[in-house]
Amino acid sequence: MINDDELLIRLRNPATRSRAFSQLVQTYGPRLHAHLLRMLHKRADADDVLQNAFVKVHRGIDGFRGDSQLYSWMYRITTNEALAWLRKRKRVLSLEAENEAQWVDRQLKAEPFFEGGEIMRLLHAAIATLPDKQREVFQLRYFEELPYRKISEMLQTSEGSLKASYHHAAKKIETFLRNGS
Amino acid sequence: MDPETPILNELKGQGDGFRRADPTFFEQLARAVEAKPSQPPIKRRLLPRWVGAAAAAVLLLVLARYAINAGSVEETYTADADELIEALTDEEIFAYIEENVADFELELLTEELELESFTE
Repeated sequence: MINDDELLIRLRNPATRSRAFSQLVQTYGPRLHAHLLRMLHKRADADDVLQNAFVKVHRGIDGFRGDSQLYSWMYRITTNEALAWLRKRKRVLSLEAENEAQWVDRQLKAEPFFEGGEIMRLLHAAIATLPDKQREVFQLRYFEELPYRKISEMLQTSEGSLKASYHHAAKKIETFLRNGS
Repeated sequence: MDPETPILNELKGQGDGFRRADPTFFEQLARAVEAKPSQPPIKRRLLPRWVGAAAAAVLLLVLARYAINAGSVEETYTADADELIEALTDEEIFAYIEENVADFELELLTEELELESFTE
């Protein structure tokens, strides 16, 4: 497997760009797709948002300066796309008087791509109630098991602040799971 | 392990409950994305031209009403429709559409999209 620097060189060379882009999608796509499933809870939405994100990556790769790691940069693009998607969904939910947790629970019951049990469904519903930043920190730490140092680079936030966010998020989720809502 | 979060501790390591997409999905995704780069940004393509016109008309009505109300108190000012539309930037129109697209009639949107795809 080639490293990011080599991949970037190939992505910027018109002769190797197409093959390198395919490699990029196959290397980082699964991880970003899993991240989107946890954020959006719907396979069809995750597919659409991932495609939008990779279109932006494809268009923006020449402007990527390498200040952060390639995955961190793509993660930021993908997350921004997902947050915009969520904002639209919340606007619709507010019209339907259904909160995000209720929507997630109902959606996961109907989602064929979800194979978790009731407690896992409740966990996702609990995560959906968190503010954006806490939700991101929690997902990266709990599911992806990334070190705070790495999360700090990805979210441009100090490690101390991340630890506090994670702790608050975990306590809120635990309470939600204990009370069942 | 945090003793304050026993349920989370127990669930940790059980994954997230979602299946993982097949590798062929990512191969197809890369091809689909590469087929798109010369097209304009997706977000804008989702909004047909008539939505921009409708948004401008709604803005115009709001501004005209404001102008009429203001005129009834102090002095009369008749807003010129073309001037008001000219004053709006594309960004303002698209921002307005994005904020209010849910308010547009779904049936009209569907009809317009069908008409566009029929005429293309």
